[in-house]
Order: sequence, then C-alpha cells, then structure tokens
Amino acid sequence: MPISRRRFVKLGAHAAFGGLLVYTLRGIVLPQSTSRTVEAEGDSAYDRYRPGEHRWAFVIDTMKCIGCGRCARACKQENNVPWDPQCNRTWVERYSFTADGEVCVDSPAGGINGFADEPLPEEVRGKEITKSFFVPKLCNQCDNSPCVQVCPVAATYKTADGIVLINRDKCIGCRYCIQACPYGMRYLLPDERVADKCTWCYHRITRGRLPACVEACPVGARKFGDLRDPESTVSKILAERNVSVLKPEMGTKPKTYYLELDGEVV
Amino acid sequence: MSILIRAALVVALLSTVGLFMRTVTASLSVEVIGLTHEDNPRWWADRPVNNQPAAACAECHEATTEATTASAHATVNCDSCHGAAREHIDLARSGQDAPLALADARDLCTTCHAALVSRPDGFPQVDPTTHGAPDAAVTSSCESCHNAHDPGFPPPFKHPLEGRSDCLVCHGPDQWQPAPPSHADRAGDGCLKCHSPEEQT
Repeated sequence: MPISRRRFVKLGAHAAFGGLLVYTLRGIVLPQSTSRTVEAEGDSAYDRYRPGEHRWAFVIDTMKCIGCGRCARACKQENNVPWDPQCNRTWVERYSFTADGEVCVDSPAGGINGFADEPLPEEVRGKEITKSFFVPKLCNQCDNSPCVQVCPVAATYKTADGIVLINRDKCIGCRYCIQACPYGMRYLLPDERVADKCTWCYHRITRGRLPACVEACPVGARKFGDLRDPESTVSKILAERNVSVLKPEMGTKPKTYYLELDGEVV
Repeated sequence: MSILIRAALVVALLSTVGLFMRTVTASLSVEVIGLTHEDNPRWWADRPVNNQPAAACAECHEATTEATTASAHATVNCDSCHGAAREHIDLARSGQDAPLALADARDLCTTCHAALVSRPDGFPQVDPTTHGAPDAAVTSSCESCHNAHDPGFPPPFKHPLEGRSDCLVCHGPDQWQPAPPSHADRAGDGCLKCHSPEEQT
C-alpha cells in the first residue's frame, strides 16, 4: 500500500510523541516505588545518616607530616586494598629539592613502610638537599569531577554529601576514569576488574567516625570534618588560614585542601 | 517564502515540545534507566570498620591503653602500630585467642623516629645507627630503654641494667650520656649506692 510522505511524517511524529509520553509517565511512577523499597530495608547506620546535611572536607598539613606512612597502611587494612604497590587509595610522596635546582619526587610502595629505610631517593643521594617534605595524597572528591563525567556507563557518581563513589555492579573496567583523573587517584582492582578509589572511608564517616587515615596519623597532619558545621576544625581552617588545592587550573574544585603547600607540588 | 515560515514554525514547535519534555524527564529519566545509585551509597556505608579506636582496645587492655593515652604517644592510635584490630577484637570477644602480629620494635619505632631530612624540625628523631648504648644487647631493641606505651618527653628510661660496669656502658666517660664531672672520684662507690635503677632521675 503506497503511503504519502505527509502521512508518513505525521505518523512518525505521533509515534515519537506517544513514546515520549509513555517514557515520562514511567519516570513519574517508577522512582517513587523504588525509593520506598529502599527506605523499608532499614537496619544499618546508614538509615540514620542524612547525606544532604553534610559537606565533607579534608585538610592536609604538609608541615606536620613525618612520612611514617601509617595512614597509607591503615587505609590498605581498612578498605582491603591489595598490597600491590600499584593499588593505593592514599599514599605519601616525598619531595626533595637539591641545591642545583633538581626536584625529586618518590613514594616507595606508596609509603606504607615509611621512608626510614631510604633516607633519600637514589637520584639525589650525595647531593646537597635544600628542602624536603612529605605530601600525603588522597582523593580530592572533586565537586566537578572528571572521573564522573567520563564514565560511559555512569557507574561513578557523586553523593549528596559530596563523595565520589563507584558502583561496582555497573563498572565495566574500561579504565577511562583512571585516565581522566588529573590526580591519579584511581586504579583497577586486579581481581574484580573494576575501578576503585578512596571514599574518605564512607563506611566510617557515615557512622560518625573519622576516616582510617586520619585516625592513624600520629601527628595530626590529616584533618577531616564537615563544612556545614562552622565549629568544625576544617571549617575554621578554611575560614582562617591560607589553603590551596592541587591543580586548581584543572577546574575540578577539589575538597581536599592543603596547608602550607609548596608551589612545586602537583 | 511561505514554505520557509512554515518550516520555521515546525522547528519552533518541535523545539518547544522537546524542551518541555526534557525538563519533565531530565530529573527522572536517569533513575528510570537505572543510572542512579540508590542502594550503592548504602553498600559502601555498610563496609566493616577494620581499624578500631583505642576505646575498643581498652575493653581488655585497660592499663596499657590508659597509660598510652596519657603519654606523649597519646596521638598514636593503637592500630597505627599493632595493625587493624577488628578481627582480633571479634575473636577475643567470642573467647578465642587471636594474637596481633607486631613488627620488630626497632623497625616500628624508626618508622617515625629515624632521622630524615624530610621530617619537620622539632619532631623527635634519632640516628638509629648511633643512637643508644654501644652494647649489642641494648641496641637490639628500643624497648630496652624506652616504653612505647609511655615514652615521655624526654623519655623516662627504664633501667633494667644494674651494677657499676653496666652503668658505665652508657654513662662512662666519652659514652652516650656521660656522668657529670663531679662523679669522677666516685669510682669506688658503685652507682647503686646513690641511684636506684627504677627511680632514675
């Protein structure tokens, strides 16, 4: 049966409109039912936790860090991170500056054993060191996170309290996010073949505890708290002191702030 | 001309409908096609807490925890040296023995206290190759002199060594901490006549 162009276009438009309408109605009906089932589950600490009432932030005082690496070690144990030196949710870097202008950055095994066995990195041994310090690194939980933007299956997302998490059931292990993170915070779990990263110990902060690395730090170089609470340590530091973030030019809006950060640190 | 106007009208109409549908669906479509993660934050939040606070250790190790939390090591969490204690505590609560493996004291102490140019000034640091008494038995462990659970600042030394000859290993002339010059003529008396090893000042 021949069909006129006019009729064909008309039919197509009707079909498209109808499709959109059905799609919209489904959208209105379905989410309510799913959220109801989630609320009904209720027996974990997460039920009493209100993500929207918090805005977490992390502050690192590079002048206090002694490079003992207890943070990186505690993190591995807390989050069952593989001992493989390629897999780190947090690590400690050592910056060494020589008199002839060289800058050397090293982090043996992510610093989990500290630096006592290697008083200086190989490259600068025997040279005059003008300054040297440690810089702990962990996920910046960027407000404008490249890793979330690039994920092709939307497996990674930001929670209402500002933490970037990965849904392991959805992650296809394509490593795009690992490439996208300007801070190198992500890695692939060797057995599960899914991306993994620091969650600021989501299981601890939602229970009102501190992240494991903060608790493990013997010198208070790591501070964690809620920016919604004006009395919290991090709120006060951000209000009163000079803080900076890593790679501000990337526009990622990190929530890990550094005190006394040397300009050479990237 | 009229065909251009009609085309423009069709485009405008379609755009309006499209924009309307988008505002209605945008907030919901992500959930409908399963791109939100309602259960996933819960999954993360339900992970077990492996590193335990000192209060958990105090359930059994009350005296040690109390001493440590009142000492210069108050800011050092038990798990920072002893490792994540969840399994140890879970087993202990069910009446099972579950010793926590602890690294050799000298390795453990030097992790923080070995002198490094990168560490902040003012943090107590020593050169592990020269620090301590020049006696193999003593240098083998920091704990011969220092108590990790109550280091003090300056550290109140435990003095397990007794007798004149042993004292001079550290306190003889040219040694690590020589006795004051006024002590030079007291050689025959024996240190213990005046100093009690347990109450050394």
